[in-house]
Amino acid sequence: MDRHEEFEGSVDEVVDVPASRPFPSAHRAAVKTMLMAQVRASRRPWWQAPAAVAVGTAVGVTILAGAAQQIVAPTRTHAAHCFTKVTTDTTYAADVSFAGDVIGPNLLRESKIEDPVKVCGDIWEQGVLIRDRQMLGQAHRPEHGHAVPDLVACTLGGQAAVYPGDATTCARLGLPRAEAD
Amino acid sequence: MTTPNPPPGAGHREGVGAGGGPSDSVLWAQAGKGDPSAFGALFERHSQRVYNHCFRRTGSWTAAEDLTSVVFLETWRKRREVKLSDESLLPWLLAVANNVVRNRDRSLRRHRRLLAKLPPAVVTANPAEEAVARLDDERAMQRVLEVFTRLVPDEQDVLALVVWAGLSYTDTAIALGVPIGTVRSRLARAREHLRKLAGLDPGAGLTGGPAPGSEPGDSLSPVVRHEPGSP
Repeated sequence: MDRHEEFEGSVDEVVDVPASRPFPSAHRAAVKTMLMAQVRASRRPWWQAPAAVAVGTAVGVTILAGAAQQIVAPTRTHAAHCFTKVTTDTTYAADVSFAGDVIGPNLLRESKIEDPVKVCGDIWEQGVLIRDRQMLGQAHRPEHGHAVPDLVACTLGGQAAVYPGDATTCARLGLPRAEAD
Repeated sequence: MTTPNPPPGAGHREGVGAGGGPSDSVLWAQAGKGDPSAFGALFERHSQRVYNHCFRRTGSWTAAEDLTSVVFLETWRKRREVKLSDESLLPWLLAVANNVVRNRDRSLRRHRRLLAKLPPAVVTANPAEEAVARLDDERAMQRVLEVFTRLVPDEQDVLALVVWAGLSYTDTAIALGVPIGTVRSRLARAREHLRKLAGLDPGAGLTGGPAPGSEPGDSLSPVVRHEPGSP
């Protein structure tokens, strides 16, 4: 016997706990990004040190500006970043996802976001997002009727990143666009 | 309510992980060489099990979200100490979760700067229904924890890993750094103590002793129920 059969019948109430639930997919995406940044930071080679980055950025911007005009569809479609500001700093974003279907113990079928601009537009309209404001500790305020700015979808880390802006916004960030006009 | 019954050991054996991907040991080695996506893949693979384990230890889904992040941050911070159990990182992660839950305030304080940067999650489908279901879970789990937390910490850890998380005795022993016989004896003691608690005043303390600060006549609801006809 290598499991908990010996508990059966004696402590059923302690064994009998709520069923597993999926880790919220929007939060999961943000945590994963944060963890990967930790790994990256812990083994940063000399050429990625802050001083080198400043020099490298000036050179890289020119290269990226050209590359960023391309269109790259998001591959991670279960969630989208909705940014309040034209930046890649995710403290200025809310991560949005649809609740998936639980299809078995520990299994979740993710819901796909087909139109990230529409999804983020809805969040703007609800007043969750305020232009240029960081999302730290922001409470969800489900009130409708807020102004929705012009939005554009870029691709950041394989995921849609929707910004207030226009066709030039993705290029300014060095990101590819998520979709054509 | 259900009895957790995950796949044995969350098996990622012989270099191959679930779904035919790389095993945990391969991903862990790649992460150790500075590959962020390998650590990201380990997070994707195990976050749900860690999340549910943290929920069962705390009775709060919200706390479990933050603590899940902390478990992976702590695992990375102490990466040189990590021991895989038969190619799986899961037992180690769950053992870290036990410690993180026990030292919850300190763990959250240590990583508060990173946790504060996480954007709020907005889930848009059926939020009300989901919220009610999660609240029901929390109430049910709090009732279980009223009994569970009267066990001594070592018994709580073993019981949570074996019974709730479904780890084998071997994986549990490796994760906790104790002999397999110790796992068995702690489980046996936990069972005895739970039986004893079932017949005691609900205000009783750890493993049947008086609860600190409890007074005669405290009216906690009985948690361990006896069904008609049960022993």
